[in-house]
Amino acid sequence: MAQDRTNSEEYFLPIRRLLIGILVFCLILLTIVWRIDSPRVERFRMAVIDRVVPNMEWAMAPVTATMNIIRDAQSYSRIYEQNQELRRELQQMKAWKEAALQLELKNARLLDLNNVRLDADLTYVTGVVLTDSGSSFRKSVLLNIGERDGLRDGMAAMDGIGLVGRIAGLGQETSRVLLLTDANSRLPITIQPSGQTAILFGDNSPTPLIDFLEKPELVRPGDRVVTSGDGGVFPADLLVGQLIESRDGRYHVRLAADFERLAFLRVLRGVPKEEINDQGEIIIFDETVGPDG
Amino acid sequence: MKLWGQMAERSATHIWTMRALYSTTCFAVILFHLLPLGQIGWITFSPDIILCITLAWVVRRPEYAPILLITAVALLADLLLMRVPGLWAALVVLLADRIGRQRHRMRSTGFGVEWLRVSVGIGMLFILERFALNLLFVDRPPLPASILQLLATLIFYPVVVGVSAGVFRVRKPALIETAASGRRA
Repeated sequence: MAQDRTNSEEYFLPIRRLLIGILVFCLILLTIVWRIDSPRVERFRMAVIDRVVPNMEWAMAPVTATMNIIRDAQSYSRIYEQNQELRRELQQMKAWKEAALQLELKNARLLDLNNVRLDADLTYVTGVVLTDSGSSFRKSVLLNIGERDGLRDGMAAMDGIGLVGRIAGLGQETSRVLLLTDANSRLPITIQPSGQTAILFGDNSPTPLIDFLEKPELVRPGDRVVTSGDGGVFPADLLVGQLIESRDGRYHVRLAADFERLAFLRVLRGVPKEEINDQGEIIIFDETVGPDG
Repeated sequence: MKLWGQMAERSATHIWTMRALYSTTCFAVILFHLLPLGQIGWITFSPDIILCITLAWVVRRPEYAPILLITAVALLADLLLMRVPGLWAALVVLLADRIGRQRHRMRSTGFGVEWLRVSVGIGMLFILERFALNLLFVDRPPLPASILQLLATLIFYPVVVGVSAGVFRVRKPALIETAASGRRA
């Protein structure tokens, strides 16, 4: 039997070679035809796929289903891991939420401070206005806080929004606040945004007068007026009011603080640079040191 | 004579069974490639298992994988796997024929020599395919991917041989048959 097969193999060898030659030639011809007339061969290919693949559907379905089950199982095995991950992220989110709340509080506080124009370095004591001055020529109020509460002459007094005046006269338990509208009040100011400095003169009117303005053309009505801090008496950048122009072309300040209803005043306990002993000589130079050093 | 006829009949049935098995296996491999499993990474560098099966069976039992069947399977794979139709099939047919003619020399030597010869053949096949694609102005796959596929195929060949021998009982003819055939040669 083996002999027969060997003999037949030997006998058919040239034919076999011919067959293979024809086969390879046909296949290469198919390739070349595909290269020349691709759409036609591709249609043929699609026809073959169309005929074969749907018939394989029944065989593919269980395999695909099995693979999907395996994939699902893999995802189930990752559930614990994912849960841990989510827990960690939740922890981080809680931390962030806490931080956000704290920042919100801080922001609110800072906004509050902004509204009252408080220097962050300053602390303040709030006092109740006891009495008004009682005279139309003296603009001052009396507070129920005094030296006992750490007040010094020259400290700035504000209401919730703007500067009201300064401590001028100090008792143990009471203090007098000289208002900006008093005729004796002189306040170095800065006009924002131009940055012009000037002096605010109290003149017994509700709107104090601005003088010593170097370049009036740089300021406009509506500009913000803040303390400049010059002279070292007041802290800088306390809100005073808004610039307005009077009919005669002079600049005044509409004060931000509500002078009609002064009920509670905050006295800023800053660190005064200089001792102020006398109401009339607020800014004094030490004669022994002098301005030249 | 009756006994001979029975044996021949059984043998013919067996041969046709094995041919059907060859076609089915190759078809299953194509089917596996076509499974809608998404882009899994190793699929793209997958070894050409059909080529491995074909060569392994041609070396052992060429009567199980006749050249017409090889052609049909390879052409079907070309068509279904969206390759250039005919080119790879032609190369596979040429290589299968070549390996089939060399198999008498591989018979007495060990598996190492066979693997080496097959590897050289498959390497030639990949080079020829790239060359032909270049000639036809067809977009070639990137060279690293091609090389990875070639290496995967070479590494996979012993696995296919092992499975063929172990599961499908495709082994080299028994020694007595070999001796008889060798004496006549």
